[in-house]
Amino acid sequence: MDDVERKVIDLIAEVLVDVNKENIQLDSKIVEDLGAESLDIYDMIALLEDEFGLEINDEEVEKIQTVKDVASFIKAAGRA
Amino acid sequence: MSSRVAAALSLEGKTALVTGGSRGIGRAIAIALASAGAFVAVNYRTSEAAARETEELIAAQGGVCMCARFDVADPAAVESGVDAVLAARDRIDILVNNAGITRDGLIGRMKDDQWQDVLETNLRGAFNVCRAVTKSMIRHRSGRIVNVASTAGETGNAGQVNYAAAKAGLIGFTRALARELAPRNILVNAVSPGVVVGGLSEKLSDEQMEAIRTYIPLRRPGTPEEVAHAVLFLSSSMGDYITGQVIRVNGGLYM
Repeated sequence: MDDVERKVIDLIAEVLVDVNKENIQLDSKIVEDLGAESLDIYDMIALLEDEFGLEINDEEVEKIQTVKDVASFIKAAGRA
Repeated sequence: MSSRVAAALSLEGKTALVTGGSRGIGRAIAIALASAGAFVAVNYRTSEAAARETEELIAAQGGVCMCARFDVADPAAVESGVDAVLAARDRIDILVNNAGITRDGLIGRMKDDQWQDVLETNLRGAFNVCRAVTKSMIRHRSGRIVNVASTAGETGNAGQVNYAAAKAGLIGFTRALARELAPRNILVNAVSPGVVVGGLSEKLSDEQMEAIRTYIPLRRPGTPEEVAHAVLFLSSSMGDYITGQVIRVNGGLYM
């Protein structure tokens, strides 16, 4: 696991207060496995945008399913 | 007052933002929240002198506040204005959307900008400020929003299609946002004043005031402080189980 992946898990854990951080794996599906609701997703996007200094539009959000997808998106945005 | 009642009304340690807080009902709300212990950011657009006066009135009773100048109708100005409050206080616990204007006229004589200005300030203004403030409330999983509506938005008022539409819109906005943010323990309500001395009703003539009095069961107009008391109640832990409601402070004018 790299730094971005670790940071993403930290931020997701911060939003999903009812989920044990140990249960957040790279292949966890954010909605199906972790039970995130729409407000949680909104909160996560705001946190990720602030933390990594980027903007995530709704189309991109639709494509994201797993924790690893989030990290990959951030790494790709960083390279762009 | 028993200490339990005092504790339930206390806003000690909380930060409040009151838009249009320099005069009228907004000033009374700012003073009431400060007197309950909140730090109050007093927003205003043009009336610098009045805002300073509100600041002095709050300081005179031992309260703490700051002035926050921005136009609620300007989204960019709202973002930076709210950021300035968050920089000073870290969070905003209570938001009171009070900023409002009137540009009355009969429909055939109403100019586009009369319609536009009232909708922009009274309705879009509340949207702009809520969008900027709720981000931090969602983060902290708590917050109170009180929107100042009007009887005109509930019953209509001749010569005020713009104002009545904006205030009725604000009531719908309040209910939708209350549902949206309830999962994060953010309570959203409206207070709907009737005829209140000072502020926007000051423009009414003596005859109009007399006519209005005959329709108000309590036979007098309300005071800004009486409206502020309802806002304080909803902002305090006394209002913990109240969301999506319109609290009418109108002397029985509309029931």
